[in-house]
Amino acid sequence: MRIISLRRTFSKATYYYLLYGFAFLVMLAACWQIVESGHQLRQLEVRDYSIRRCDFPSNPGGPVLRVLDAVYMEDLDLLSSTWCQTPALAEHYGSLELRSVHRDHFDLRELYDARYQLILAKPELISSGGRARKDGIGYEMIAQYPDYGSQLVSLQGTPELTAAWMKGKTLGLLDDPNSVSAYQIPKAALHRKGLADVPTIIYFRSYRQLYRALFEGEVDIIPALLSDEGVGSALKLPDGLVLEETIPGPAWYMHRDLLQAPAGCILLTALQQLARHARFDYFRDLKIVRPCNAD
Amino acid sequence: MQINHRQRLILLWLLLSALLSAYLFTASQSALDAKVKDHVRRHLLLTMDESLFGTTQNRGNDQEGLQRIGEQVNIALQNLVVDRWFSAQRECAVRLQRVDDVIVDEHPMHRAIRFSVPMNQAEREIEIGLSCSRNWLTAAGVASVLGLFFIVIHHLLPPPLTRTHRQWINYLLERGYEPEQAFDIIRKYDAARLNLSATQLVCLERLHDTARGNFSQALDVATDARVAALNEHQINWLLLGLATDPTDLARALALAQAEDSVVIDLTKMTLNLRGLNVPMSGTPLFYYAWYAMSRINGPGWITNPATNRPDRVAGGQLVELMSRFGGHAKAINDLEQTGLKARTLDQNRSKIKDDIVAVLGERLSTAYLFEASKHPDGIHMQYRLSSAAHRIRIIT
Repeated sequence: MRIISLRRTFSKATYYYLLYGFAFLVMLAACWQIVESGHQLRQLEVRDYSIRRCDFPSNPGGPVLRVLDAVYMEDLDLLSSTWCQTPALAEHYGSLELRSVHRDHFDLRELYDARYQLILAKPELISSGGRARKDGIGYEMIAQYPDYGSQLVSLQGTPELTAAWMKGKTLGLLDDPNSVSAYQIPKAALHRKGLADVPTIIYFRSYRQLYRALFEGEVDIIPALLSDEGVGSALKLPDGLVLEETIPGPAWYMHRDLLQAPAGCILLTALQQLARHARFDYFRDLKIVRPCNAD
Repeated sequence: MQINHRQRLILLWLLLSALLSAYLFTASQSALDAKVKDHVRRHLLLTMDESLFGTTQNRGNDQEGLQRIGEQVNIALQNLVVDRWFSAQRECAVRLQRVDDVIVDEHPMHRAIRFSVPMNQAEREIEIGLSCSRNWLTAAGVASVLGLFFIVIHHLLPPPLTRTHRQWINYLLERGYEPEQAFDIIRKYDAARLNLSATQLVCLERLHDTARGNFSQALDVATDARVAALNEHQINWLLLGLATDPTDLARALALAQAEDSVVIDLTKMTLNLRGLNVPMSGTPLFYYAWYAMSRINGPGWITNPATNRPDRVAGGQLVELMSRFGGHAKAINDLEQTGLKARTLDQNRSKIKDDIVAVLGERLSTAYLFEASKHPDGIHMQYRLSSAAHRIRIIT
């Protein structure tokens, strides 16, 4: 072919259609650009999702009331729903932050740093934390729930610590080696009787799951709170095998700065209000250890 | 089904547009999935409470705690994806749906993204749901721009040339055409039109005059459907017609498609061959009519007289014919005096041939001239008209 001009070069089908192919590649690159720059992701705030928070609209900018539940209380929704509606708290605080934490992940430094105004914890936790510091920790017990016991409960009759009874059965335990009643005592009892390997053990992360597993038949035996529940209690269990009768109950601890302050009195009143609305008799029986002395 | 160049381009555009749309949607989906997965994973690693996960997997998890946190995370994930007006995926919703074995959200989502995060000494599978709507406007925009490119290219560049086109361009270049000129002439024609039969090629070759640069006109004639239907003999007649009047194709076609015929009008002294007037002077025309009459009335052979003995009978026939229709007096007188001489007969046949060849040319004249053979006596020659008797008409 003697034709050599550019125009004629593209008269050859191969080169001619290559030009369309080039147009396609240009658009492909444009699509790639659209794909690359088509979306942006909003930066997410790094926050602790286990914190339940409510704001008091009447006191914007007020200090934050921080409450720590180191017992992993099942009824904590009640606290947030009750306290968030309490006008007296709104006079002193702008918002309420409530945090529940499993004991096996609790960091004692949070006590040392005094990040919380109010703490619900087992006395042994606070006393062990205080031993490490010269002046102890900056919290004092203001109210305590009664001592309780530990028992093994089954829907198939009262459990017996014998191989004959335990064989083939499933025992549910709390997946928390720090739990005295739902881990340490039942395990110790099984060891003492040489039954450590007899029942199959399944671990649960909360009391709620433990109780549900019993009623749904997933497990045959669970360790349960031994307390005098009346007819109005939601915790209705058959008679169980009592393993331990006296375990110190959890208590509320208040930061020392608040003990003499009006806000401290209001918090104590709020705790009493909370106890009145508790679903279990055990949590209704809150004993004030340190009454309010504020003027 | 034959598709033309424009239809081929439209099909190509549709195909490539579909490919681009498919790429746009799938690539943006997978890119977004990867971004969201990475973003949410990093966020969960920073914010998830490890204590909610049991040390023994599955049943150990704090179901209620994870569900509560899942709700909080889903509030935070609202409006996570910020799209732009040109985004291929729009109005995207991201939801945390499952953490390990705990279902935290059951909203139906278009697709699920799964990944794992190390939590409390074990890998936990996380599932997030992602739902977006496709932005067809962007796909349409991309297809439109591609279409615009196609239109521009199509407008700026002529369609590609086939091998046939190139052969014809070379044909013209060999005949002295300028490259640009040859290109412009040939590219106007479809390849199919440039595929000529041998007959059409002959026609083109005969009509094409390089000096006049009339290739286009010649090709227009050669590729005319009516011309394409002609045989080689008819093509010769067509060319004869066009030689007479190059602008009157219809007349040339009529001549080409006409039947062979010989019409001799002695009342007007005219000769018409295949509808074409052939000027011929009086005496040769009488001789042509005399041969024609003989052809109509029998085999048509007329024996040439011996050179030393004129044929008085034949001369008488001619005298009668010429006398009846106003023949030349001297010619009549010569025939009456001496009869038909061999030399006179040869001269007139020669004159007839010259007149016919002058109009029809050598090739086409043959059918209207004479065929010769030896007389049975083996001495004299005999001649007759080549035309069949039924094609000859004499008007007297």
